[in-house]
Amino acid sequence: MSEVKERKPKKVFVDGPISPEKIATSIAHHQVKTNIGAHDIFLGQVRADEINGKTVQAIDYSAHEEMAEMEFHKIREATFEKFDLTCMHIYHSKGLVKAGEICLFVFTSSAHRKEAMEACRFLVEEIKAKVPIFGKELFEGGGHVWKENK
Amino acid sequence: MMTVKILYFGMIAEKVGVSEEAIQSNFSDKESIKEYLEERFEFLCSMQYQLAINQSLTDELDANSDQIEVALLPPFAGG
Repeated sequence: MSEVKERKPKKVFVDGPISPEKIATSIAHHQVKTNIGAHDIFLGQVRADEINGKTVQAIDYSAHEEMAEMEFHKIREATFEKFDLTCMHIYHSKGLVKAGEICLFVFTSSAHRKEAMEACRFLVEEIKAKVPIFGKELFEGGGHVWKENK
Repeated sequence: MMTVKILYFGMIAEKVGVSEEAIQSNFSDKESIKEYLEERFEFLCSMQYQLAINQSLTDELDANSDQIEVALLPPFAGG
């Protein structure tokens, strides 16, 4: 198992939305890893929230990229430490992502479901709490507010 | 004197009007940086933000370093 553990930082940010094709391709790549018995996937999607009568049409993501990549790396290491995983992939958008499009893709794989599912949940919570990413919610017809994780 | 690279992000960058600047100063600790910034930008007093010193939220300032990075981070919105 150790040969598939990711020890050097991997780039997490992708420009714009994460395409469903990228997700499908990523799943397909794991078919050769036959020690995997369970995958869990989390997909974050931009919501067309209504705020003060205006509708969000997109989020413009920005980040302290260097610090964010370092935090992602730390979270990845902590997750490998905590759970018995075969594989882990994290992608997050930067720049413009329209409502309905995917902005976060977290993918965990393990021999059994429990580890994959718990690790996936852990990752998503850690990412939301610890990674310096900022979101400008752009309204239809102009104007914006800054998103804040609850 | 230390060279302090200050990075502004998100709504803070929007309010300050720039995303980056460099100043020369002599800060003794993290608190003194905070005081300096809140005096310059009053809106910081009434909002939630975090200061990262050399990309760490927990590290204290090494007053002997001649070059540091200070990042002003508004609430996170990833995911």
